[in-house]
Amino acid sequence: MKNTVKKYRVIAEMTQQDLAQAISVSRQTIHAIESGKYVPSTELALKIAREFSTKVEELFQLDD
Amino acid sequence: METRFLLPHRAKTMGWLIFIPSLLLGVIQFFSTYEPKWLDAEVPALFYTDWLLADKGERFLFFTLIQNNLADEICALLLLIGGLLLVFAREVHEDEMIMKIRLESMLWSARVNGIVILFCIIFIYDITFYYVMVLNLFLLFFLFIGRFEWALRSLRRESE
Repeated sequence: MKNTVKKYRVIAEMTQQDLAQAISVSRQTIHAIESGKYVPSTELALKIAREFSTKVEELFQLDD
Repeated sequence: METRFLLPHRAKTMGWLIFIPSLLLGVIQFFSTYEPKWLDAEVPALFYTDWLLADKGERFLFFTLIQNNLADEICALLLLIGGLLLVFAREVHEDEMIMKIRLESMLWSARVNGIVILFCIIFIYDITFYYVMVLNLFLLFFLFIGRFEWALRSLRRESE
């Protein structure tokens, strides 16, 4: 699973800590998601998408 | 994320405070079989095997009172309470990834514990098997705590 969370976060000028606080998770979780080590639940993915005002499909894509 | 059956984070500190001393006491007690006289007491037993009464046909006793030293019971109970507090204490930032690590650690410890029991059944016999099984009572806790703490530390190190 690929993701563009880091790209969207940088565009939004947010730190990992900012995003973590906004969606009520730890900074380590954001780091793990961005580095592809953890695939979030649907609920968390929807929260991240809402934070960046985008669709989940824009943030997460299946590997080819 | 809903995290049912977890205790507040302060239970972790309390868990370590109970777990470490009782582990040390347990190890000392296990290897020295030291039993202070003041802990001798008459205790209720649901089932008891009295080898001295074997000839009289009263070897197996049910719902009876027996004389026992409470040192090992106290040690085991404290170790169990400390272990349970550590296993079920919430992390400061308890989220779905921590829960995933928690469940993975529990699965890993159950698997390793099973392999250890299998190994003991095949290669350890008689009274030594009994001693190993006493240690095995707490092995699941040791494995889980070790694996979970290691995973959390790795996660923190990687994200720094």
